[in-house]
Amino acid sequence: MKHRIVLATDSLDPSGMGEHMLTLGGAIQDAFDIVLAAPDEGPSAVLLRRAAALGLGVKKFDLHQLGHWAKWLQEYRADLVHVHAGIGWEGHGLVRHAKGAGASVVRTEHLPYLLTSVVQQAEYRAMLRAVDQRIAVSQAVAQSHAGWGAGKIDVIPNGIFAVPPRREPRDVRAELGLAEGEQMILTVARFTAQKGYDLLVAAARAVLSGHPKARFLLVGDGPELDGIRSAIASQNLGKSITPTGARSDVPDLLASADLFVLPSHFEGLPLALLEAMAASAPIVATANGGTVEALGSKHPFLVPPGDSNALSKAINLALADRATAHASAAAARARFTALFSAERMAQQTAALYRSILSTTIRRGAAA
Amino acid sequence: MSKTRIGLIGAGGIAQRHLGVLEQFEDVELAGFADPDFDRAVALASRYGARAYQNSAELLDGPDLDAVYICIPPFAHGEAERLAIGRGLPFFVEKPLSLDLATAEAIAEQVAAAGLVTAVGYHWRYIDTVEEARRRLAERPAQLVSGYWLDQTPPPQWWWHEDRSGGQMVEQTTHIIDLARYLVGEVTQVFGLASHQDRASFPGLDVPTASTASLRFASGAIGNIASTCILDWAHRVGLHIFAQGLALELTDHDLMVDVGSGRPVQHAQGDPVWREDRDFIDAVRGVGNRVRCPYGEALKTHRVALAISQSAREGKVVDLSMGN
Repeated sequence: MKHRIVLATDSLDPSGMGEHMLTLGGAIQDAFDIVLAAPDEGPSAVLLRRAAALGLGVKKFDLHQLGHWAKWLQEYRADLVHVHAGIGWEGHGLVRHAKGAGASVVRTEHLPYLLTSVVQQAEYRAMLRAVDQRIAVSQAVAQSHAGWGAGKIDVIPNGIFAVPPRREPRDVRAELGLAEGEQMILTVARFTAQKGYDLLVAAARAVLSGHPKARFLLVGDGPELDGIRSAIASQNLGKSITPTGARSDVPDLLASADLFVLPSHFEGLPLALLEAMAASAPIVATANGGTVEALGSKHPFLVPPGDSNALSKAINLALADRATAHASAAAARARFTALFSAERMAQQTAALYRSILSTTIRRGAAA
Repeated sequence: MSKTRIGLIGAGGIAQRHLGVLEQFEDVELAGFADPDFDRAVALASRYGARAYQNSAELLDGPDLDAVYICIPPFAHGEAERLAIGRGLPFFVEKPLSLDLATAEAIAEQVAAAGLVTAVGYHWRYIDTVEEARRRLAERPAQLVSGYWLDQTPPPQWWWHEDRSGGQMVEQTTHIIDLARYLVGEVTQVFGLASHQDRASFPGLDVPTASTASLRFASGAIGNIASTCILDWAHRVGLHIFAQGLALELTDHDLMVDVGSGRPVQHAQGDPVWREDRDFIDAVRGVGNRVRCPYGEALKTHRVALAISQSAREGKVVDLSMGN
């Protein structure tokens, strides 16, 4: 009988983290009995449906009644609960109840350590007592957590399955209304302050003065979308910058784009960046820890976070020097294949599970 | 304690009824759910940390199951049962067994050949007051029965159509037919009549809106069972039985025993579906098979219900003494 692993998040909008959980669960479900657990609200409910369609077990819970979650964990007799957290205050209740139910507990930090409140910092330290092993999705995430709580952190860099495009670029560009010669600059990210869309809009004017045929496509959804729309309108950039909302054809868009731009203020190890690398799209990105690890420090189009001038210069350069842009895209694709595949991430995670499970007494779930 | 792993095929109302019971059993784990409406399957699976599937074949190929509940509408029977039998899986199936006799007979034959544990959802057999009625009738055998299913039209549209539900006698009143068999014995002869009036609130409804059957039992008892779905409320659902110096009125929640000194009513205690599910799970776990209505037994009830419909269609008495 397989060990029972529960992949859990209490995020109401797990976005990239949810994708990561699906990727992981799908990749290791032959070796383990996997249940994906999430709140039964909004995008998390969609995550549960997608997990079910992948063949994973699914468990919904009510964030305001975690007692039921605790009771279910007791009855289900999970061997290991793997909690996925974005910002550090997430997942505490899930961790505590999992330990209380007698399961081994793994926690993945998907973002750098961002807690500034002393109370939250203390809660984080206390929560760690119930964690057997932490994982960070990048070296930078691990380093940022150093000193903020007991226990070491294993780094298992994010990984994704490369999804090939399904449509021809010329059809995609036609659907998007791009004329011959227009340059498609693509950003795929949630509309949150973290992702730096404000910088991109600020940089756009300088890009357009040198490259009037540049067209920015902002793909994603989120709380800042309306604010960014207003910024675009107030600067009269509506013809050049189009927020598309969330789309399910990102591989097609990446294969059609002249440039992928990720202007984030901070990152763990962004999946959208890995997707762009896998698609061999030329990339301009802010030099956050996880992003630099993904692209390598020699990537020619890395810019300091929070600097719209540097961002516009790098975009201009990448649009002008296509040879360098394409060479860097090929190098990024090679790095992706070597370092950031879903298979590698899943194997490392499974190995960690096995090492933890081998040191604990079987709980008799299958007895 | 090992848990008995159950899969459910069908995620409608009756599945929910069984889930409400099964989730109370500490020795049961709800492992998978299948429904053509995948979202309904996901909604149930995510209550229990289970898996969701679009059809019964995927479910039965999926998690290691010890038994399966088949809670599907009348027209859908056949494949799920055959797949379960093919995998040697015990199954609980909801009534009615099928629309036609051939499907149910073929399943019964395969069940018998495989020696499988089965149970069918004729839960009236598990009402404690039915036990009391049985005790009374053991002393004074029934001579006359009078059964009723006088009710509203159920909301699911499949129920309105003869070729989906089999009609009220086959879909609902079959509980009363089964109860009459349980208390009075085998039925040897039936004569059915049926009539239909259109119902404005139920467009396309083509099942008989009133039906009645005269029955002869092997014991010599005779009786009548009447159904209608023409009301907008539940009026009377039950069975009245008359013997020497004894009149019983049985519903699914009480029993009135009239021996000529008032009309005392005793109320049914406990949940018959709980007892029914418990017996099935115990049989699956090998701790004794006390199932009161296995598949072969249910088939006998189903034969009577289908014979009543056939008789109403053909206008002729149907003799069952050979078949049963």
